[in-house]
Amino acid sequence: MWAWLFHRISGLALVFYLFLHLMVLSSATAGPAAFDRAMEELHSPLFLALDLLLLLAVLYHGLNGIRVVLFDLGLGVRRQAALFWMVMVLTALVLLAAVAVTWPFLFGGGRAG
Amino acid sequence: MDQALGAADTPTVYFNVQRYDPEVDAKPRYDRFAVPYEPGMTVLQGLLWILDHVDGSLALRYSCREAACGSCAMLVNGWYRLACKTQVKDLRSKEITVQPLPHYPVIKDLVVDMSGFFAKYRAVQPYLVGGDGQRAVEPASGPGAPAPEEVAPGREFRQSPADRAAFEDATICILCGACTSSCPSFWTNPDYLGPAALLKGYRFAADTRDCLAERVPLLSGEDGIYRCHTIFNCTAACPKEIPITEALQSLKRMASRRLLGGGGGGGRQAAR
Amino acid sequence: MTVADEALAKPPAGAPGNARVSRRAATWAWLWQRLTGVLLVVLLGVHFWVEHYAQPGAVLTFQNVQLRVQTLLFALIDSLLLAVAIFHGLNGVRMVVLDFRAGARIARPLTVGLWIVGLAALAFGIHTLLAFLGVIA
Repeated sequence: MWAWLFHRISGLALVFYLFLHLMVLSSATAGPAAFDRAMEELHSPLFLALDLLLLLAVLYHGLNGIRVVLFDLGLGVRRQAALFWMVMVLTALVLLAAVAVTWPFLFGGGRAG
Repeated sequence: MDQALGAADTPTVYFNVQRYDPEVDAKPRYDRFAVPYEPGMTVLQGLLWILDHVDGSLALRYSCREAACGSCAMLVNGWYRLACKTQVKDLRSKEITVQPLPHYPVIKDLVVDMSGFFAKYRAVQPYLVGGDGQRAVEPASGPGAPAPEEVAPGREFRQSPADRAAFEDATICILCGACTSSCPSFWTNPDYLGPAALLKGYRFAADTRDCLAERVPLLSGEDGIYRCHTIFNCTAACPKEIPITEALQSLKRMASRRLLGGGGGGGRQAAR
Repeated sequence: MTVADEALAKPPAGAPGNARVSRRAATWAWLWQRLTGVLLVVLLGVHFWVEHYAQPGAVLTFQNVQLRVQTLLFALIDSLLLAVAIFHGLNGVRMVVLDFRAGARIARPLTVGLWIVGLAALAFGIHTLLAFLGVIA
């Protein structure tokens, strides 16, 4: 049940983000300067931390999505719990790697590229 | 009260039973009953002891006492179980909480209203259906009944043991209602056919004598298989350990194959 | 009248035909959610790689994005990603709403409404893409 609940919550969060993303990118219609200003804003530690949250949602939703599609193909249905833990571990590993990469920009005062 | 209750050498277990009569009570309450434990005692035996010795007004459903009739599904210590096949000792607790199956309307105490559940069971047409319109006929008997060859003219519907074995798991469902009660899709949308009815649909869809062209449309609406999101609660809750989710996944593939023009049943007679 | 009598008097819930959406449409919606989902894993992987890792140290600027989307291949990939993401997201929303009884009863207007929202979002996104291409400035 948790696999489904997390999938649902991350999915709804991603729909919200998709529209937010389109809004932010639309600053390009006001010219290059407006777009570059918006991008500069998004490189602050606060938004980088939110990016990590976004990555968490994307990773989980994508990996669990693959798990669900496997079930739809009739694969691994009886190993659903093990597959769920694989999704969790993979999500955690990639997220940790991303945190490690982002760390200096979050707390080191560096500017992310 | 039974004298065994007072005997010092008899271990005692405590049944906390949810009591609720919607016609009288504003909300459910719990009654605590001290029950003398005997080796081999099941939860159902404990409840019947209460009924016989303490409170004759306790309402519960049971019949076969051997996990074959599906009447006594309830929540025991928070989990879906058949009271008749749940050993008190396996609960590893002296405190036993007994509640009716959740998400069905309570009629009284442990008795829930299963009429919606059985309406859905009927809705999936739990019998063989056939393209010739004859297969839905109940086996006729008694005086004046048509001869078998009139029901299915010149046709014998044969099935190999291997074909029968393919859906064996789905045939052992006893319609206790635990799976549907455990399904979040059913919690929020009571119009959803639910795992039990869909499993029954699968039992016939997977039967080589059934007609998929008539069967699949009964199951593949938005209140059918597509409300299943592979949550696996039903499979976990099933007291008969039927891989229900797996069966529902097969139904989704059958529906997709039919839509894409693949017929959806290997060498099946898709439409007779 | 007891609770049981009342329940029996009510028409059975969940009988076939209660769904306000055709069975073919229901199966298509399910199937497309799977196809777009798998496609998204690939497209988002490309999107992510290109935006953040392909050129280490490169800053996300208007000019950099412009250079990328001026390649026909990337313009197509970005447009496809936009369409597929909107469809997958809104079809997912539809699925969530239909999981509620009240939602299932407005299935048809819901579907129409989500198509309007989706097509508007697609137009909005293409509009932004055109700005990068210098068609709108």
